[in-house]
Amino acid sequence: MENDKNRFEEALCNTFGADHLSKIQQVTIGIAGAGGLGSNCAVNLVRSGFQHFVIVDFDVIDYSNLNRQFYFYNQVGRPKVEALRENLLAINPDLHLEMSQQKIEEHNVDSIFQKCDIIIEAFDQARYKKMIVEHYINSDKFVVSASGIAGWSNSDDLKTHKIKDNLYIVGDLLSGVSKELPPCAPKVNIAAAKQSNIILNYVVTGG
Amino acid sequence: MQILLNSEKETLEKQSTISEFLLAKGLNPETIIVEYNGKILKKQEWSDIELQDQDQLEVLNFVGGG
Repeated sequence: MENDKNRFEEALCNTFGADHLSKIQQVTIGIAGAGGLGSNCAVNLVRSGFQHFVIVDFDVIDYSNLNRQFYFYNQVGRPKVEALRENLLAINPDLHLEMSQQKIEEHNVDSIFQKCDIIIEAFDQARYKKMIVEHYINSDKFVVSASGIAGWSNSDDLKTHKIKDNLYIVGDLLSGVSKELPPCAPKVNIAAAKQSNIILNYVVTGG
Repeated sequence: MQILLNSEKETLEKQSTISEFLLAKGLNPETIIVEYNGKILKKQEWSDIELQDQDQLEVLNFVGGG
């Protein structure tokens, strides 16, 4: 593995150093949802050198997703996981991606993310956020969630909350999506970038 | 009777179960995780437990958007 880095990975090695990159490349990250948070987290993490992903989403791309999700006009109508695979491979062609188009529920969450060291909660709906965080709160997996990222005011309120050693939540914890508070690119991107950075920091420094 | 809700003191007028207390606070049972004296409780357990003086309740509420 060490000897067959592509040119992007060689460049990353120069940026990070071989030790850091080796840690990054050993981790498997599960992403629950490939919408605004999930697609943007995936991009940030691929750019940071992560290679192994399990990404799950049941949905297809709609025009209304283009305001914040990492998809393009000509991909509308296609399954998100399929389009995201293409978009991520366009950054690094040597990724190990397990993309799965299905709905995540309490009964299948364990088998879906079994091999993952780290899980990103990237759902849209509050009750699914709760479901997956509750499922892993007492596990040995490192979980990064987001809650309270709607609208456009006070982006500095999107804070990193350390709930437990293995659980972080990014957001203001209050601003849920509504007619008055739609999800928009800047705050969704900030949240996804912070989720990704928590993971990068955790993997490189060990906590 | 006094309990701690997310580390803040909270006075209860009458005896109540965790379910009743959460309902009175206007919290949606579908979107919250409840830790009771350091232990995560399943939703089914909320109505079985009567809150006692000095109990500690941590409630994590999720809102939609992603």
